[in-house]
Amino acid sequence: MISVLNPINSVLFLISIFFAVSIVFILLGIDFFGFIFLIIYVGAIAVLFLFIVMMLNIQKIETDKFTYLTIGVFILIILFMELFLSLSYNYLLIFDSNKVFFTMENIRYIYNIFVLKSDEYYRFLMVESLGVMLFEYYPIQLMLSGLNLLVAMIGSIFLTNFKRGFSTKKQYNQLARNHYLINSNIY
Amino acid sequence: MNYSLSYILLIPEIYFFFSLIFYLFYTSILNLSIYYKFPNYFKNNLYFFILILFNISLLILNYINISEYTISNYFYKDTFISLLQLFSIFFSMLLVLIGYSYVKSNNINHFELLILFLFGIFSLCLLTTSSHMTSLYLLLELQGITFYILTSFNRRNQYSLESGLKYFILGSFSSILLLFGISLLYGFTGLLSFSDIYIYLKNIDIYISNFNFNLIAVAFVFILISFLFKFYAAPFHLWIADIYQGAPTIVTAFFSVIPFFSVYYLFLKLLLIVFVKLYIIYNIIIKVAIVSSLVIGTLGALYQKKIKRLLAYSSITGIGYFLLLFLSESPIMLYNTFSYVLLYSFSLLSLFSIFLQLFLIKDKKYIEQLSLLSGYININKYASIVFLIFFFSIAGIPPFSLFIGKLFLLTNLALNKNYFFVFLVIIITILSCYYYLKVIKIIFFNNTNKWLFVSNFNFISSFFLVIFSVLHFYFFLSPSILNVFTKYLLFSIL
Repeated sequence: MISVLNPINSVLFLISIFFAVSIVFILLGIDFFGFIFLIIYVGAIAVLFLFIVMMLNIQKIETDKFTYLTIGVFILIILFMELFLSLSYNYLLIFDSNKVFFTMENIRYIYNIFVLKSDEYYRFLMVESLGVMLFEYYPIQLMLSGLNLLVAMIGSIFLTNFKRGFSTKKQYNQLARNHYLINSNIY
Repeated sequence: MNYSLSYILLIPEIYFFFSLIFYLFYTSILNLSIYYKFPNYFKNNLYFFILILFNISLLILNYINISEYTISNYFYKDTFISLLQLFSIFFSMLLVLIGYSYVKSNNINHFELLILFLFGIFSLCLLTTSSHMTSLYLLLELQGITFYILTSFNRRNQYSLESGLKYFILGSFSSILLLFGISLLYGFTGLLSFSDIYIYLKNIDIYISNFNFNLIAVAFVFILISFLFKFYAAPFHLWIADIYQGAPTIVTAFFSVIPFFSVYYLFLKLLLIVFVKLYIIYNIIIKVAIVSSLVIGTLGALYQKKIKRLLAYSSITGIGYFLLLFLSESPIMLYNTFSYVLLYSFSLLSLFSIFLQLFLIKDKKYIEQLSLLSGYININKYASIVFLIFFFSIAGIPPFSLFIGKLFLLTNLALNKNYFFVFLVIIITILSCYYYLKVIKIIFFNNTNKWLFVSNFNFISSFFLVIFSVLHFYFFLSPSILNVFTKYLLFSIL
């Protein structure tokens, strides 16, 4: 069932799904993957989707309810069955099955890890150990990668700046329907 | 891990880094000031550039007698490495001084040019010292990014932009291969430092078929092929002629002359020390690269009508000569090859420096077609004599410098009984004489009705051209002067 007609809104919902997935990763204990997932999918791919949706200018969207509804309900039942099975066997999550939902106990557990920094903390936060590695053992490499980004920034500013100087880009040629006739020397 | 003392050995590079950042801020604030209405102080920037490089070369001279690892195996400093840094700094100083008129008359005298040149020289200087895979990859990438931007620096020219894009695709593909090889190596061994990899490979017996060894060989082949891409050796030379042709000539000279010292030195270090146990694997790849780059370089250069395309193909042939080192086991070959590298890049620099001067006043462009040079002896007698010296030198004709380099290479190959390669190199040298002497023939014997209007050479560049042509004689008369530099190579490599 399609409840959101605007494609931009549906992309925003997709971003919320990415957020949820990254939270699942963090809860599984592979928090570096969670953050990388967030950075790559939300930072790059979802923004790309948004651009494409804005460029394509889609207005018509199918509102056929029943086929989507049946398939969706079927998939939903399978997903819930998986979830309950995993919870009952305590197989996937590192918490106890009692602690999965936001009980007082669970909140206290998270407070112990992140704020009081118990022994669990150091196992838990892979990102911090990565940061320690970068800043303690590879400081020069970090600076060099920063220098790479600086050079790339200088180059992109210089090559695309047409206030001071000249640009070979011609917007009307790019937007024209028969641009290959105008720019025949390229092909 | 001792950090406290080890940073002192890298003082020239640290000074370079800070002066580079200061130069970036200084030039961008000066040249973009709204109060002075966007002035173009290119000459001011140039003098500051020269001053920075001069200071750094003095600092390097101060720290020349050391051989130690600095900052926990990430960098290694050595007398020969310091000499290579001095060479790359000195050559780029000369190039920028000579190419000043080119930059000005092509209207690419933006301040970003010199900033990017400084970034390129910085990356090349640190690249020679790197002895860890991470620093190697990052510095190669820094060098690559500066070169992609510099290649497409002339934004008015569509060919320049196109060649920049092509160089970007080629370079990023090769660095992807390098990164993949490094990550495979790290996955199989867990090692990144050169010395650690050397010790690890030393303790493996390769004749017992070892699963891990084959995987390391796969990783090494990726690294090797990415380095061959970086040199434009022949099976991986695609687009290099377009890149040379499209880029502004000063940038072409920069990326065809200066990276050879550092990248080639690093290549030697990887193949002759770190992965020397894998000689059986890389031997055949190197042989294929030598034969194909010698043949394709000469056959491609035979029909070229533009000077930069000719030099591109001739540099592919040059790579074939450089790789001849791996055919013989004698350490004397190391000296000879490195002196050949020095002489070859010197003669390339001198050729580029004369082509940076040939400005046609009426057409407002630089000479690119070789046929435009016909009858140049009638216009400028002395410049055409300098042309003669440089082209004779690069062709390897006796009273000039590169003859010595080729002679030493050939005698070493003959002593090692590599007769196939000896005859191949002789045939290739004869063929390459054709296309170098064709230029001389056009200059001295062709006649045209058209009169060329070439601008005068400015004082600095003509001064350096005279010095270069004298040096081409001098290296022929006493080639032992090169041993002053190359005698440190043996301590550095072996």
